[in-house]
Amino acid sequence: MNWMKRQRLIGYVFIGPNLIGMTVFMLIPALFSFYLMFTDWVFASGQPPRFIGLDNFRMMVRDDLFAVSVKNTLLVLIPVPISIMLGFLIAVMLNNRTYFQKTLRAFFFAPYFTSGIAIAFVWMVLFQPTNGPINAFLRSVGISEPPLWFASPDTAMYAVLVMMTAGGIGYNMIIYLAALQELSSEQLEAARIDGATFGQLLRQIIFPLVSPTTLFLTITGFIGSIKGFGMIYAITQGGPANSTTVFSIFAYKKAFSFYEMGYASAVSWTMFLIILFITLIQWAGQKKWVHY
Amino acid sequence: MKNRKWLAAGVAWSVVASLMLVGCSGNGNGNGNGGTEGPASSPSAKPGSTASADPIKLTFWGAVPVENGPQTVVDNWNKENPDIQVEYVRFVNDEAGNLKLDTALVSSQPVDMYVSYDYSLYEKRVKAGNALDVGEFTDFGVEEKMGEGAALWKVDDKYYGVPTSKGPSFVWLNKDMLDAKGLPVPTEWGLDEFREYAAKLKDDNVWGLAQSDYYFNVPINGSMLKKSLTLTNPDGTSAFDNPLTVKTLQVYTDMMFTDKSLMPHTEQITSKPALDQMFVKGETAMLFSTNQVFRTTNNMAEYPRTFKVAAAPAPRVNKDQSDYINAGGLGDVISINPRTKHPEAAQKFIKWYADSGMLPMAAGGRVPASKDFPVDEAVALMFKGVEDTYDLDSIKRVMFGDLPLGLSRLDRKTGSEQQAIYDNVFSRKLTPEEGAKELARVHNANLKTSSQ
Amino acid sequence: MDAIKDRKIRKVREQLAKTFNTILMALASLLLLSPMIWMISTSFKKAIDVFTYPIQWIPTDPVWTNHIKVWTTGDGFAMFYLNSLKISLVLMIGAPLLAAFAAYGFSRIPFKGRDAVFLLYLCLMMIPQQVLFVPKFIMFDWMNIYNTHWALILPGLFTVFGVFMIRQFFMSIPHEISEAAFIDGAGHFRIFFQLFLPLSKPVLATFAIIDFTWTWNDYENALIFLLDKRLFTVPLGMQNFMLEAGVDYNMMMAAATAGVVPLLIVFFLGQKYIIQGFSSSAVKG
Repeated sequence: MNWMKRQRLIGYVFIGPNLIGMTVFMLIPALFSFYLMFTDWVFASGQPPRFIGLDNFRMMVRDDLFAVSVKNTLLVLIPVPISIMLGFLIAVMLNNRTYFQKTLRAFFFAPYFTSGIAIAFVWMVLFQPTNGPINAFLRSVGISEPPLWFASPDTAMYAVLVMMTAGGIGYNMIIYLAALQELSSEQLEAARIDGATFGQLLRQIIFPLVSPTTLFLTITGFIGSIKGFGMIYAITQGGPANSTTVFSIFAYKKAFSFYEMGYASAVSWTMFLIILFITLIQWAGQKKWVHY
Repeated sequence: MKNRKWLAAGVAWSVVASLMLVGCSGNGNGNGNGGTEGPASSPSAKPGSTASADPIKLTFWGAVPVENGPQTVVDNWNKENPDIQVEYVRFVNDEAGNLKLDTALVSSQPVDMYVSYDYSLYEKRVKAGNALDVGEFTDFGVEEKMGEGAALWKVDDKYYGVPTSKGPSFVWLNKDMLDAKGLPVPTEWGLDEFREYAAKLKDDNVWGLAQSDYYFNVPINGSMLKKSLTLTNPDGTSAFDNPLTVKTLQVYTDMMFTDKSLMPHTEQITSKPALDQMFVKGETAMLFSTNQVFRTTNNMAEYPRTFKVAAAPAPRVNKDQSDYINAGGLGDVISINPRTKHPEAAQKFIKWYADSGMLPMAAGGRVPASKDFPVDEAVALMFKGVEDTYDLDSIKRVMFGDLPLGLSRLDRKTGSEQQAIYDNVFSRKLTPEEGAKELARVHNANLKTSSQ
Repeated sequence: MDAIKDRKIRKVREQLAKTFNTILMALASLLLLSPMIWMISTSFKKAIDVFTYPIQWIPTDPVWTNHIKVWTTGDGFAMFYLNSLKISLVLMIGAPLLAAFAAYGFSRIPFKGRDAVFLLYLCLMMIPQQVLFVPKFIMFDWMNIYNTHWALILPGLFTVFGVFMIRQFFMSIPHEISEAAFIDGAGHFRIFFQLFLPLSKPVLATFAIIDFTWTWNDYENALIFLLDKRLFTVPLGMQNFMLEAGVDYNMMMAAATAGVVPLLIVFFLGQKYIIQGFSSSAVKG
């Protein structure tokens, strides 16, 4: 067996178990839903799926909610890079530049331990227009008519963006922490002795060294943000007046509320295309800034 | 060395392989620990005849929390009927929960009996063949027992389930506050009087009125129900765009923004206040909601209050409207899954439940609908120990009286899409007139697609 | 003399910087921590105190009854707890191993089609969950694993996320190390088990923590695929407190608080591994 073939065999041995599992539990259901996309099947209706070609897509594009969801989904991408940056800075801080590191780390990661309902509720309360602390603070600095946040179709999205930025920080932080631990301390020491300031150290050495992690976080961050659904739905259910309906909520309402599996699949696969597009851009661009 | 590395790879692969095998194996092994199938009709269960000493096991799915009555009901039955054992399974009556029920209905571990709380879900289940035609059980006359309101639950002119409770929505009143302002307990009123009361009762830190989310559709839909259950005109188009709708939207807008006697709608849906708690804490003088609020008002231990509670019917749009129908007719429809192995046993349980068995549920606020039900017992149970904290006359009049009850057959999709329109009207992005037109437009669009 | 003074000044400056940073971080984290504080504090409140404005961060009238009720009444919260523990632990150990195995193949073994398959993986990750529920339900029912814990464990063992994360990490390990091992006569398997796995403790620990947390908090999967009450996990147990008209928040938060404890333990243990990784890689240099 020549070397190339051997490598191929070994390669498949390694990725095999995972690949099989993924095929069974993700690929096959996905393919089924792909097929559903071209039918008008309604779950638990007793009627079999009927092929209707691209009708689902035509319906989707004409749907009032479609344009709104696309816009909102794109908006929801904004918190991702901000949250990653903040996570990075905090990780750097908590990596030997503060006291009580272990405790602080737990504090930042706390949202992940907390029940989603608790988180949603606290944000709801924080942004409460009449009694909430944020508006109380705004009034105290002279803004007499602070925004209504979640209670108004005009401002609800802003509140969502703030919430999502904060939500991502803990997760980004902890992943960066692991990456930072791996950096060889000698390189850093050498640079320091050479007189580099911390800022330079950060920008020119540390950041490039963790760039594979950054790529990972941006890709998964964007994917997660587009798929993400729970917290927004818990507070606004996509409202008021559908102003916070992102694509995933649009799909959820069609699938679960009305069991229209065909239509829901069409919407979801469209979402997938959007995600794919964004990811491919990042993947292709990695040569420019990611150092392995 | 060569052996070792293949060994290592072998370990990983065998993990995968064994998992696959376990997954695909028959019922017995595949369940791992504690994964016994549902008590009813699992494929490996004994055949359905009750000749053997084993009791028949039935599963009964409902959305009422276990400790609000269902467990007591089921325990009572099980004691008296050792040959038919019923297990109550609770599901949350939201989208995910109903999906779970529908999933279970068609799975290989079917549910025997279940409750539908909403007409369109019920209709869907019937059309999908997941409900048994109750007409087959001739000794149980649904209409005789439940009254003509039951007819609203007919699909294709047949009954596929038994409605067991009745529950209009109505207005809860803080009688002490009414007395303080010299206002009598209303027996029938329209939105203008409603607004007046709210404005007069409003106070510092006290709302004049609070109401459940999207309750605007109660007066709006109620005005159309008599003419058409599907809220359409004789020609089949939507009936939403009418002056009563406009008036309702206008009055509510005024209450929220001019009188400020009602919490603005968008604020309410995003802060999700616990309305029943607000009422018992005295933060709102009136509460327009369901009869479920009993659970809170009866619970003096956790929700102490000093004032008396009275009730008034839901306001019509105009006080003198003659064709108005109150929302919330009969509900809690119990259906039998045709896949059950024990339909007779199931029917026996349901009959018992409707006629007498559901008494423990009354304490949680569910009023039995069956004519054969001992009403006084129900009332006594509902208000046990706290009778003096209620203005019982008004309560009896509203809950047990003869108000015309109805049930809208508006499909869920339209209802859900109309919510966005209400959001816009009450953010003042749409005027009431535009709002009414939009409500009709959405309804018409859905009517068109469903008739294709 | 000057050199010593310089070092002293530098040290003091460092300490000041550290203190300042600590305070800054503490304040920032407090905001993120507030939901958790609310959760714990609400679990000690009487029902009527839950929704007061301004928020009672420390209950004025604390009660233990919620916590006691959660564990003693109803369907046996202890059982939900054990179920969650079982599933999450199995996944916490199994998923990282399987993922690392695959990640090695995707990063350190050059073979044709490798990157294409990896892109396929990434694509799979992008598919939204909800759309898979019904197909998975049908498949699981047919496989007879519906309404068993396997319905949650099996899919959970195979994650793209883990493979991706660990692969990125592997790709940053210098090639000199594996080349040296090759020269010494080691094959891929040996390199993986004896070199890469130990090196990647921080990443594995991180993924384990994240996976454990996700699995523990997962509500929708458990909801759809588990029918039998005896199989329920903690999030489903919390469902009991979602009443018909509103939510019993104080009870629910008591359940949620109890559920947090294993997560905290896993987190702190995991942190230890992350630090350990640091010391081992310092040695490699």
